Amino acid sequence: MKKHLKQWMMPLILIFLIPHLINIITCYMMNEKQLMDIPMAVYVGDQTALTRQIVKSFDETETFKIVKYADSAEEVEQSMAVGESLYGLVIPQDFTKDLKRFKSPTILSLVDGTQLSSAAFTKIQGTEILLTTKIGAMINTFKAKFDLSTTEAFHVAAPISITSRILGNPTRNYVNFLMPGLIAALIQVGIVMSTASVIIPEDFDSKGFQVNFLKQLLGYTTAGTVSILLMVLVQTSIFDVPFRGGVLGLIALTFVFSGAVVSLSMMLSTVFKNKVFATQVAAVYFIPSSIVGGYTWPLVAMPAPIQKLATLMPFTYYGSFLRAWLLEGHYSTYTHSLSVCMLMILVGVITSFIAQRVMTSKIAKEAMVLEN
Amino acid sequence: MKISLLVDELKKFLSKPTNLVFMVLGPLVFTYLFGYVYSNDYLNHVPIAILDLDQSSLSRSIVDEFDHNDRYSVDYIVKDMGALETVLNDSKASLGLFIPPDFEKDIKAKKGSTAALIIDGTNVAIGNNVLATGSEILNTVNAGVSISFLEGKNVPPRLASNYAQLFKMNSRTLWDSKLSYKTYMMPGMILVLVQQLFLSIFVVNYIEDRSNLLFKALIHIAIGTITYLLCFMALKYSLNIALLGSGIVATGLVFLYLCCLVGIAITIGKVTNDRLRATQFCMMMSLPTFLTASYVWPAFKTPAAVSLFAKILWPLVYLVSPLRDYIIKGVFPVGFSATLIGLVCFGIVWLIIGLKAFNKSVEA
Repeated sequence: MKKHLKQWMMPLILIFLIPHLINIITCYMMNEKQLMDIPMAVYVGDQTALTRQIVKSFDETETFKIVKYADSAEEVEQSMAVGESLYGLVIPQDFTKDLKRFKSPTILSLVDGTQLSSAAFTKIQGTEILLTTKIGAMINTFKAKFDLSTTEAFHVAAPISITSRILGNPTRNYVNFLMPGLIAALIQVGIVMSTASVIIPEDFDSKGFQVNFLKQLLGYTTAGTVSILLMVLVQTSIFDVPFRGGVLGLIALTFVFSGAVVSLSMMLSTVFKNKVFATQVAAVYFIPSSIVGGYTWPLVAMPAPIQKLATLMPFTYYGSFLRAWLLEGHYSTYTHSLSVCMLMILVGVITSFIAQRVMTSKIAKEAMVLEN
Repeated sequence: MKISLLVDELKKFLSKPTNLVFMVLGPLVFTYLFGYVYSNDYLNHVPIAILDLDQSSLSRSIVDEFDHNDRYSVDYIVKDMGALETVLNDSKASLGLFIPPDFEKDIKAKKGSTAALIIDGTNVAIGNNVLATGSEILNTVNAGVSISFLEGKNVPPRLASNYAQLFKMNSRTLWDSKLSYKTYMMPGMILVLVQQLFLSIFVVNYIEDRSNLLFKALIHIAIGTITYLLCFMALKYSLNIALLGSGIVATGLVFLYLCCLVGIAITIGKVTNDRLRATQFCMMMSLPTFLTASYVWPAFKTPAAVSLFAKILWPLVYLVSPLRDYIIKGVFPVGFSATLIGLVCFGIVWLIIGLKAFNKSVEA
């Protein structure tokens, strides 16, 4: 009993304890889910009712929080350089005067391009706020200049109303976006670290090896599946990640994904005698898949050779599936992913069986030579 | 005497080829691999779907604007809303543009009309970028239509343009105008790579042979530091990431960082006490340490409890984001000296814990 407990202690830590602890910590960390109160710096070179209104409309949104009123445009940039603010607004001198003279003055917004998580979002939100102000000012001008009604003036100022609908993750929730796949990737690493050293081919005859291999495969696959499903349960029940797909579909692909990871990892364990080296090789193969597998940076945007490399990694067929299954309830290449993961299981099993036969016959030959 | 000990340790280190392969080649290979993964700065030619129920000259000009923009590739022209939703749901397109019937007629009659952008938002970073560009295109078209109206009212073209552009809105993206993943991820990634491979090799070598701890640590720290400098140079000169910070200063900070990792590395060695288990544990820590280091999710939004937890258990949170900001912008973030003091305190506390563990294992 003690021996069994000791044997399973490390896998329990790697497959369950660490990933689930990190799951709870990181989901809690992103508990606000959306980026709000993004610090911004403002330079108002023209103190008028209009410019104060513009600044107020930024301050009143949940997106921005003005942390600095700068004395110059350079100071806004400086504030962004030292990380004090991530968005800057520069209203030039004589802005209102120039506007009234129809000289088209320019409001400059500055975005910190190093912060990808906030950059595009602040750009969209900032543009929306400025556009609303601009259209308001245009309506007033057109009404006065061309004797138009408010509605007509509005339709001249903004003939095309732009609406946007965001499918899947309409609130731009970062927990929904990142956590299902990244924690699944972490559990994958735990499975790999636990299984890349479990097989000792020379300890068995062919049949014994095969039985032991399949037993381990089933055991670790089940452990990996349970861990991923538990992670999904925690995320959906505690951290409000939606669950729109079917339970059976999730279990089926999770099981074959977990099986593919275990099978390929045990294949490395069979092939490499040095277990530390086998673990290092497995780490080198599996850990990058959270990046190469197209979860955060899409596969279509990667160079063709990387896209080909990604096809060899089980996570490519699982990470995006998991997110789509939870957020949208469907996944267009489900059957393909299922088939490829099954194929990977087969490749791992067959290669391991062949490698073990080659290895044991080599050992037998060496023993015979020694005997003679 | 001491120099001979140092030379001995260096010889031991070099006698195992895997040490150099994992500690030097490993981070370099991954730097190039990930740099290549993110080599397309822009997400170019995003497949989009169009549902144009108006088929007027104005609606066709809008479709042309999208088609001619590098960001998009109009891959699907669909006939109804059902087909548009199917293409988006199947992730065949990342953006759908819907133009309603009588679009041009309503606009000309000053009734206004609506164009809808439907975005696959499952990937927030990509969705935001796609939406930003789509809105920009439609805003430009909007301004053009307004100018045409005003010109129709006998307003001179230049004045019409100024009326329609009552004020201009310029947007400047600082330090990385392309908002590329490469610039965002790689400066932090190289520190994580150096950290992981330093830990995996140092802890295993320490478990194998506990003699000359100081020199052993120094050799590993020196190799890790040199590797960081090589990775930095790869980013700057080979992967062409614009870095304004000094490589020497950044490397000096990484040297300090690796020194601060020694205590925790010795503790891992003591707790696992086995080469295999140590390797498993160290390799396992790459993703968790990165996720909790306020790199992906900004520090100002991280709850204090999580921040404290990360700062007590792992030093990455002290350096990864400030170092990224420094090497890209060339300026240290505000409060960096306090952060650095925190890192040193972390290193000292864990070194004391590690040395106690080391003494116990030596006694045993």
